[in-house]
Parts: sequence; C-alpha cells; structure tokens
Amino acid sequence: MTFGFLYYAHNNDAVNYLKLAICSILSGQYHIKDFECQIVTDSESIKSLDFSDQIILSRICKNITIDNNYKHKKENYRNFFSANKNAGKQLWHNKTRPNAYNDSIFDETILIDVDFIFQDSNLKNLQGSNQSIMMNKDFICLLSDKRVNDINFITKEKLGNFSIPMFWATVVYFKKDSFAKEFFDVVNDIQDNYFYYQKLYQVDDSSYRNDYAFTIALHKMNGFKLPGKEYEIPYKFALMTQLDELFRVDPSSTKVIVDNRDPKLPYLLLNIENISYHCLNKFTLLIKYQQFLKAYNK
Amino acid sequence: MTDAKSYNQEKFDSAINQINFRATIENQREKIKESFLNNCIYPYNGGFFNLSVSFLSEIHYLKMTQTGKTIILDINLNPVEIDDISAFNTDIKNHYFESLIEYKNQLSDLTKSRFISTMTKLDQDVEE
Repeated sequence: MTFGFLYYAHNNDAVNYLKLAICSILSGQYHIKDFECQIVTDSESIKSLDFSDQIILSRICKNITIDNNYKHKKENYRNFFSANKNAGKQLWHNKTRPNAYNDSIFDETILIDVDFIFQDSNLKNLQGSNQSIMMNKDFICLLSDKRVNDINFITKEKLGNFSIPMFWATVVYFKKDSFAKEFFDVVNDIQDNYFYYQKLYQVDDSSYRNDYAFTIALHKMNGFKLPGKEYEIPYKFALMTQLDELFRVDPSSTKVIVDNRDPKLPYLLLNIENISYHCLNKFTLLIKYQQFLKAYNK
Repeated sequence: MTDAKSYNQEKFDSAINQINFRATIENQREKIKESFLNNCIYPYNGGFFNLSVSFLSEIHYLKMTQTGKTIILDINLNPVEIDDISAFNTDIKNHYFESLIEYKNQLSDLTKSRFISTMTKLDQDVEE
C-alpha cells in the first residue's frame, strides 16, 4: 500500500502557492522519513518560480501533475489579507481539490494544504488506519485559554451561526475504497450545486470553501447525522491566523508574533515546537521563504 | 512633575513587562501540554490509543491475565486486535514515559526561564 501527501498549488496574483508548497514539503521531509508527495499544479505556476526554485521543486517532489484546466470552473474570490497587507479580493483556485480521489497516485493519501508546516511526524501515523476518511475538527489556538475565554475567540468553527460544526479540509486522510470514492463524488456534487447547499446549511461565507463542502459531504455520508469522533484525525495542529506573523523559522520550532487581541498587551511572542501548524497568513510564509530554505533545505 | 511622570511610566513599563512575561509563560506552558497530548496518541494496527496511567494499568492487567492475542477498544471504540499483549505493553509504556520525560524537561526549562527570549528559545542559535 503506497502512502503519500497530495498538494494542490495554483498561483494567483497575490500568492505564489508553489513556493508555499516547497516550504511545506521541505518541512515534511525533515520530520517524516520516506516522505512521498504529489503536487497538482499548472504550467503558469511552474513558470513563476525562479530557476533555482524549480530545481528544488524537481528534487523534492518527483510526482508533479500538470492540470491546466483548473480555471474552467466558476471563478471563486476571496479577500487575501494579513496584519499589515491587504491584497484585496483575489481569484482563489480551490475548486480542483474535490478531484483528489482521481488525481492521487497513492493508495492512502493525505490531501494537505500548502500552508501546512510540519514540526512533528504524527501524520505519518495515519498510515494503515481503519478509517476511510479522516479530517481535523479541533485545532490548537495560539492564544492562551484564558485569552480565548476573555474575548470569546471561536475555537470550534461552524458553517454558520445556527449550522453544524465545521471540519477542516486542511488535512484530509483518505484511502482508495468505495466509501472515499462516494465521498468525493458527493463533494463534487456539492460544489456543482453550491448555492443550494449554502442556503440549506446556512453558510455565512459567500466564497466557496472546501472546509464547508467537505463538512457537508461528511454530514450527508453519515446519514445527515453529526459525524462522530471516528472521522476526526486524533492529532491536532496549531492554527496561525492571518493576524499572526512568523518571526523566525528554525528546523523544528517556529517563533511567532501572536496578535493577542488586547490593547494593553497587543502582541505575544510564542515558540511553537513539536506541533505542526496551519499558517493562514500566507504573506508571512512567503516573506520567510528564504529562512525555510535555509532551515530545511539540506 | 516630569520625574513623577517618568517614575510612573517606569512602573507602568515594568508592570507591562511582568504581564508580558506571565502571559508568555502561560501560553508557552499550554502549547507544551498540547504537544504532550499529541504525543500520547499511539497508533497500532489501524486504531489509535490515548496513553494515560489508567490505560497503562488496563493493559498491564490484561498482560497479567491473558497471553498472546487479545482485542481492546481504541479511542473511537473500534475493536483492535493486539497480536502480542506483552510486547504491546512494553511499547506503550516506553512511549508514554519517553513523552512524559520530554514534557517534564520542557516544563522545567520553561519554569527556570527568567526572560522571554529564553523561554521562547530565541536566544538559541539556529540548528545547522
């Protein structure tokens, strides 16, 4: 049984997703032995890389699938921002991820976001799992528990105020079996009829988000009952929001300036060590791109 | 008047520094705990087990009463077959105590820290 990680990286005008994928793969290879991966990307995104980055990419990832039809689906927009940058509404090419079942070359796949940085080897433990599909539901907040309670920071997201709890499509484990195939068929159906499902599940966000489509699909596949813990990946990742900034990247730890949402103490320094993290602030990852290469590109 | 103001400012800065220190240490402590909890998830034969003292006791009891293959429930209440309960008992014990020792060392380093730069390991050189 082959096991590997599957990335989707289609650049837009604001973010070079392929560079983010390089950061993620380098950190993955550092922490996980025999790290196998596949990237689905397009010719334009590959051309956007410097020659040296293209060499790094071809060295770290042997399975690059070119999909130039990614723009054929209805355009999706999203506001790209960070603490000190607002790139405004940009095209968000995230509609090809539901093809993961057909695109993946592995028997067991972890479909993963390009902005996921490995700092442990826990995801490797999902190999050989009894489950067909698993996703993360809870995450580790970078704010302290007390601060989370003080400001009512939402650590368990929902699709809408009165809707079902959200699963994160940041890390999706699936194996090639009939259940997973049906699951991805349902995700594709949800994407094709997204307006209907948006209303049905009272989704607040107007953009198409894979987190929502995957959650709705799981709810449907579970007989319209809330999915149980068996669909949850037991390992949690830390979530860096758009307002948090990377300060320094070391091989197995990252120093982060956390937005504390407190005027008296606006920022906190935090060392994230031995916990993998999902960095929503893509601009800060790109700024620290050279540090990633220095830390992980051995 | 200016002196009093600067004195107050000094006190204020000191208080803020202290708050910053306390808040950082608390936050750092929670993240170390989360890392330990992640480490305590042990995969075996397609199932996942949450290592704790009660789980170790349960397995130790099974080891005393049974030999060879046995079946136990994982965190999702799925039955998982254990090929050799004795070897499993040794493996989880080693894994749990290694994680616990790491947790203890990290916490002890943290509580010894007197500066934010030390507790966030900012003063350490980047590994080569």
